[in-house]
Amino acid sequence: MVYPTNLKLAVSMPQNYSYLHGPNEQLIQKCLKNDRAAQNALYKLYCNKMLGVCMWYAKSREEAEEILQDGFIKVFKYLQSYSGKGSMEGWIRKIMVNTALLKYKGKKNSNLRLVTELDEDAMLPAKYADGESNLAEKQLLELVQSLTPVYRMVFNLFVLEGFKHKEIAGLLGITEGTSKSNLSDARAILQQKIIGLQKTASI
Amino acid sequence: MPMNKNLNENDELFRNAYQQFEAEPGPDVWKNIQAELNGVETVYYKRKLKRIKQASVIIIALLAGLNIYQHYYNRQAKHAISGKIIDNVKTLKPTTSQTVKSPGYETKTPVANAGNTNENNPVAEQVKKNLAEVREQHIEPVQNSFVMAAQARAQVPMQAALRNRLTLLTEKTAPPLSYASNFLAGQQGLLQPLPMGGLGKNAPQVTVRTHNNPWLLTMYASTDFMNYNLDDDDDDNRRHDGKDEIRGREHHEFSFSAGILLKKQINKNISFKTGLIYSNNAIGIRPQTLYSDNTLGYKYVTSSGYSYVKPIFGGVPARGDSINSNMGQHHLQYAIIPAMIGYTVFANRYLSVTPGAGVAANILLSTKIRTEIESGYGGGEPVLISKLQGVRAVYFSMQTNVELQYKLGKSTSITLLPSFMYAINSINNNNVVKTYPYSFGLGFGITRRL
Repeated sequence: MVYPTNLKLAVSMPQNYSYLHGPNEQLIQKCLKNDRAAQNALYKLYCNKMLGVCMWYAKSREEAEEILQDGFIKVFKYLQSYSGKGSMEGWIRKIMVNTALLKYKGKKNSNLRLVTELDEDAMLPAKYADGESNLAEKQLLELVQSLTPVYRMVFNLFVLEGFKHKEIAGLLGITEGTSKSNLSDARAILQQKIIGLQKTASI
Repeated sequence: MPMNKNLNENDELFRNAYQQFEAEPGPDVWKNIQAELNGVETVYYKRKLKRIKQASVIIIALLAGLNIYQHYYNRQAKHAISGKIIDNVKTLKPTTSQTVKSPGYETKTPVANAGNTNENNPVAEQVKKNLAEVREQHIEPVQNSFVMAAQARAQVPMQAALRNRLTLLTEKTAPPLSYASNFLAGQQGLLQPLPMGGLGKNAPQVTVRTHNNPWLLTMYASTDFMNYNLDDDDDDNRRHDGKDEIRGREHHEFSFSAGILLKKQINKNISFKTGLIYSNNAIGIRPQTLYSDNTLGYKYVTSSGYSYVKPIFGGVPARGDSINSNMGQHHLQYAIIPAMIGYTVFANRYLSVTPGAGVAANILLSTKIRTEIESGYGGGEPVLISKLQGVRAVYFSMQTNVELQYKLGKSTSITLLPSFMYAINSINNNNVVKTYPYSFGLGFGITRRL
């Protein structure tokens, strides 16, 4: 599933939420009233999936949990602006991606490097507990995490989120050409690593 | 081609993995979220509670002051009546006195010649003359309240109405006041005058239990037509936002106010009004370009105040960076505590017209702006600004209204309340403009006697 390129979270402010359907309607109503138990229920409903999203944008699990935390605070803070037009999961996922991008932009000056200056730490894949998805997914995640932040962002936004280079350029504050170049480099790196993994597996 | 094919396959591989990957966060994540949410709410409620407390203290102080004044005024009036009559009675030196025995106590009263009427008795006439003087100076203001109250009981005959408000008790402590009360009641035609010359053992000793004028409580709601006058604040940066620009992009929308008004009749015509009113002013804001003048974000300027917004997608803006916002809606909520004096210019059994004027303290409850920030790729990101800088916590306004009341029953009236307010000082503290709001309102409510 490719997400729409338009990250508009809400067009209009709903006056009531009676038109919301699905199992989350009552939960959302309670969350809007700052019912902590309901907020916890909403968190539990989506936290695993969302941490999964955050991990693709973070270098480590700890960083992913920070994004998750900031993201959920935004979710509860801006829940009233959820129009109900799309799925709640999609809306929360977009907030997580936005939060990850904001974090990246905040660290941009220190983390934006050329491909020839790879961070040794960034090359080390994060370790995850057993029972979290299958090995192939984790390996692919580790490969993406091993990319430098700017490559990771460009790759994720283009391949995973479906953004166009023009949009990525606007989001990350880089030129369209740089976005294309970074994507090409990221793909090349990943392909090499995948080939390496395949060779290891065949031995 | 094989390379492209591999790339596409790899992309699909990553997309599938991205969709399916899940991980369980540690328990600290929720604890931190909860702590953060609690912190936000604590600050919000503390701020709100503080303002409610301030409003309550002001109301209580106003009401207490009014009650003390009323109590003091009544006591003075009573003492004046009692003292004057006692003096007069002493100077008359009645030739005899008669003891009236009742169960539990006895009362001595001055007695005029038995069987004489008021007209034929010089003592009674002297008393009457003195009482008339007292009446003009001291009693009439109090008496007016009886009349007003009696008028309010439109469906009850006037005499019966006043009898309801007078408690006739035999009491040994206040015979002079008894005379005054009966006389005055007689003068008003509300009670039959007591035969002054006929005081004997059957003569009733009358005292008046003066009821304070009742509070009138009006619950009303009003639609308000808001507008404002803007002045540039020369001390601030007006590079992008002057009064003309702000006026051009803002337009007032449906605003309303609702609350309670408490009215206390001071005398026949004059009344004091206070209360607690909630006011919600709505302003629509057209799309505009926001500029960054520091690293906090893009400055969103309104006629009320300003705030800095930073889109989720945006990084730290540099000075001079700009971003566009879409349509926005701005809400200003105030608690208003008026202190007004009313003057009844017309009153009959059913209708009364009471214009009033005074001042009001407008206590800021909240400021909110909802808008969208264009994110540069065709989409909009919702922004909720819940706190504006540069807005005064309290500003004062001049209030005028005309209270048109139509009586429905003994204690209920309907009230039409056209009103006008104008800010005495600006609602801004440190904004690019100084804003003086004014509004015309048309309220409708129900008034009950407490």
